[in-house]
Parts: sequence; structure tokens; C-alpha cells
Amino acid sequence: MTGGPVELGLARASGGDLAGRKDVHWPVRLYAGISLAYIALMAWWVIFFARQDGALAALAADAGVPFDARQLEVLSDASGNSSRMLMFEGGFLAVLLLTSVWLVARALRHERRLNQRQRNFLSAVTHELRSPIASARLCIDSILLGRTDEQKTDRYLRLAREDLDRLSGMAEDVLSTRALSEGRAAMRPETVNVADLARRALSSRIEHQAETDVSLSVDAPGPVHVHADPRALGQLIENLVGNAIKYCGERGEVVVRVSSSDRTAVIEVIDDGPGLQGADPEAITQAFVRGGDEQVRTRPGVGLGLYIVEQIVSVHAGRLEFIDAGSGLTVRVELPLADPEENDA
Amino acid sequence: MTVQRLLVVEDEAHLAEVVADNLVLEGYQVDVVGDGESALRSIAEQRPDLVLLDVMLPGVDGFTVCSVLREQGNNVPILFLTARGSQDDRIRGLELGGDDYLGKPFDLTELILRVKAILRRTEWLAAPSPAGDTLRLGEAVIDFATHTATLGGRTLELSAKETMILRCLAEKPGVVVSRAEIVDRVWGYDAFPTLRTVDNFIVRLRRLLEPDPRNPTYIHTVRGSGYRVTP
Repeated sequence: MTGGPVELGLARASGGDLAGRKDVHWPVRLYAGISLAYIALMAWWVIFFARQDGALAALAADAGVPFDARQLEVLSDASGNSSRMLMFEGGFLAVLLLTSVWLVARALRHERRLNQRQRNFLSAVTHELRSPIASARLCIDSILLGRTDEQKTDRYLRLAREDLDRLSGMAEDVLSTRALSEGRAAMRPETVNVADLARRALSSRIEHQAETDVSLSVDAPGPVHVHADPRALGQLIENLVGNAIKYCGERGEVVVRVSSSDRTAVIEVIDDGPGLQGADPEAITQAFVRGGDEQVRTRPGVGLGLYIVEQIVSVHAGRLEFIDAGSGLTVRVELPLADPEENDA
Repeated sequence: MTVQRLLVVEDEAHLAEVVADNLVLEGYQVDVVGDGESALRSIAEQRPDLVLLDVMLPGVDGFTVCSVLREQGNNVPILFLTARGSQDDRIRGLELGGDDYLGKPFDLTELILRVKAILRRTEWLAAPSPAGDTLRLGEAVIDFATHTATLGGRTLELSAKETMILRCLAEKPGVVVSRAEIVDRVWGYDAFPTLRTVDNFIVRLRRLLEPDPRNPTYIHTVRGSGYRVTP
């Protein structure tokens, strides 16, 4: 989130996608051109000297310089040998240069994609920050100006409270992204019951949910213990449930299933939304990646949720899997079960 | 007087609800839609007196909705409500034919005042002008009621803003009208960057009405003070 790419992203923010592509192409072409010219020059230079060498040997022979035959043989032999050697060296050099051209092109392409993502992120953050602030402020203004009856006051306070939850969730996401991406997220692992954690996350959501009619439930037949940071794990479940609600529509259904098999704990967040819709599971766990373009944003969010989930899973040596059934998505998280001895402790 | 009808186009459910509630409290009839396409449909069917339009919308964004409406010759007043508060966005919104621009988060009182101001200006435009219903600039005849100009047998469509600017100048023929006064009467507030917007509108009007837009005969710039129209 820091350093060059951000500034570049900002500077180019007004340019469209096409302009961005052009930006990448011309320096790479220039670089490739210079490299090819360099190879050609080297080739010409080598051939020139090899010929000079031969001419010199012939001249020496003509002039009757007391070369012994063996020396001459060495000379001519060397020039034959050297042309083969030079060809090999030239080829090697050419491959080296072309590889470097390819590497530069790849790096630039990567940077461009990053810029696009940063741009989307900034645009999304602007919207995500200002909308709940505007709404909370309007709710409170309405109450303060005496424009509400008792029922409305209650309703507006509830809405404002939800807006604040949304803001604090985002602040949490942005802060943990920083910590996780810099590898300095302080994890305090302990033995926790995932089933309890899931129930707690959902009950706080149900309590404050005024808006949608999504049905939320936990399916956990028994306690499942893992060795993990309870805060991080709570955030993981929150993010997955939040995503599921976001995508499953007005009257959707979200189930969190917690189970265990052999040596792994399994957390599954199952929704009846549209699924991945062709999105690449690899791509959506990257920071700032969201489905679609920000100019036509269709869902709230800034594109950090799944990135955080993925980071938390990998810190805990777990596995993350997306199972798209066509009618709904299941996000499956596997974590190693805690040692039974520790459970007793 | 009939109840004025407003349309709130906002995809954030909380915001839409509270804005709509407060406008209803002011005595307006309010409809709410959540995306650009529904906005265009609703405007065509309900013919609202004012649209409060969010810029970042799912599908068709607010700027596009505005320019589509203006291209259709629909002059319904538009108040942009948006999280994108940059100066560029503001100017863009106004040049696309928006009437006002309010950045989120905004003040409730300010929102209500601006809504009332826009509706008042629209009424001013609908009321008969003391300068008469038409303005003659050489060959061109501008009709304030129909927002049209007839020039050499052709009828040109003018936008509400263009008509308002011309009317502003026509009500004081031969007298210099300052940019600030135009901004105040046409847009209704004194935001500095919109003075440039006035210039851009004048350039457009000259291109439509002047025989030689580079050497205007009717709409004159008075350096340092404003504009003057000489019929």
C-alpha cells in the first residue's frame, strides 16, 4: 500500500485502460529494440574482427614472416573455432537479453494490474467511508433537529449504529491488511472452540441486523478445538459470513457448518447466492480485488475481506477452498485440530 | 398548488431512506430508486420536479443518467449527491447539466435549502419574464418558454441552464451582468470554480447563436466584470 505503485496509480488515475496499456508497451518495445540493435552491433563487430584475424594470418604467410606451419595452423584453427564459439556466445547473449526484455515486460504488466487495483481500491474506500458517515450523520441530525417521533428515533439510531459497525469493520480490515501483508500481525494462539466462535459471530450479527431478511444459522454438532488466535479466527468467520450475506440477496440463506474429521477442523460457510460467476478463486483472494469495475460497483466493500481470510488461513497452516455448486457457494476452511492433550489443559 | 414530486436515486439503503423521510416531512412526494436504469425509467414515467442523483450507482452511473436525460431534451432539475467530492467531479456534474452538487457527508439543513432553491429557480424560469417571452439576437430568436432558438429556419434545442443564462442577460439589455450574478441566479450559490462554468456555457451559446463565435456581436465579454447582451 506504500511506495511507488500507489503514486503512479494516482498520477494515472485519469487515464483509461487503453492509455495504461500503451504506457506499458512503448518502453518495452524501446527496450527490445535497443537490445536487438545491441545484438546486431555485436555480431557485426565479431565478424569484422574474425575477418581481420584471417586477413592478418594470410598477410603474415604472404610476407614470409617466419611463422612456423604449426603456429599458422593454430591461428587458422583458432579462427574456425572462435567463429563457432562466438556463435554460441552470441546466441547465449541474445537469449539473455531477450529474457530480460520478457522479464521487464512482465514486471510492467504486473505493475499496471496493481495500479488498476489500487485505483479501484481508492475509489471504493472513498465510497465506503463517506456513505456510512453521511447516513449516520443524517440520522443523528434528524433526531437532533426534532424531526423524528419515538419510533423513527429508534429506527434512526439503529441505522446509525449499523453504519458505525460498517465503518469499524472496514477500519479493522484495512488495519489487519497492513499488519498481515507486512508479516507483523501479532497472533496469540490458544485453544479455541470454533463452534462457539461461529455462534458468537452470528449472534452479534443477528442482534444488530435491521436491514435484510437473510436467514443465518450455525450447524455445529459438537465442540471443535483448534490452536489459533481467537480474534483472527473471529474476523475470518465475520468476513466469510459478511461476504455470503452480501452476495446471497434479500431472502437468502447462510449456514456456517463446523465439523471435524481425522486431524482437521472444517469450517464451511454456505450461501445460496450466485456463486463465483466465473471469477478466478486465485484472484479473488488478492488484496484490492473485487468482482467487476468500481465505476459500476454493485456490492459494498473494498476488496480486502477474502485477502484477510486467506492470510489468516495460511498463518494457521490451514487450507482455503471455494466450492461453486452453481446455485450457491461454499467456502471451506480446513485448520489442523488442536492436540488432544492441550484440550484437556 | 400541487404537491411537488421528487425522485431520490441512491443505492445506499440507509441514506435513501433518511433523505426520503426528511423530504416527505417538507411536504414533497418522494419516490426512491436504487440504480441508474430504474432512475431513467422512473423519470420518464413519473416526470418528477427534481431528481436527487447519486453518482456512483450500480450499472449506469449518475453522470451517464444526467447526460442521457439532457440528450433526450429532458430538462428536469438534477441535484447530484455524491461521495466523490473532487473539484473536477463537481465541475463535470454541472457541465453535464446538473443544477447543483452536494458532497457526502452533507448537512441535512443544507440539503433541504438547496432542494428548495433549485425548485424556486425552476419556478422563476417557468414564470413569464419581465423582458418578454422572447429575445431577438440578430437572426436568432430565443423562446424562453420552450427553451428553443430559431435561427435561419432551424430550431435549436437549448438546455435549461442555457435558457436561464440568456434570460438573466436579457432582463438587463446593454448592462453588464457579472459572472457571480449569473451563478447566483442560475445555480444559486457562490462557489468559485463555477465561474469558469459560466464561461463554458457562454462559449457554447455563442457557438449556437453568433454568426461568428470568435467575434461576438450580441453576447459580449466585458473584461474583468462579466457579460452583456446587446439585441
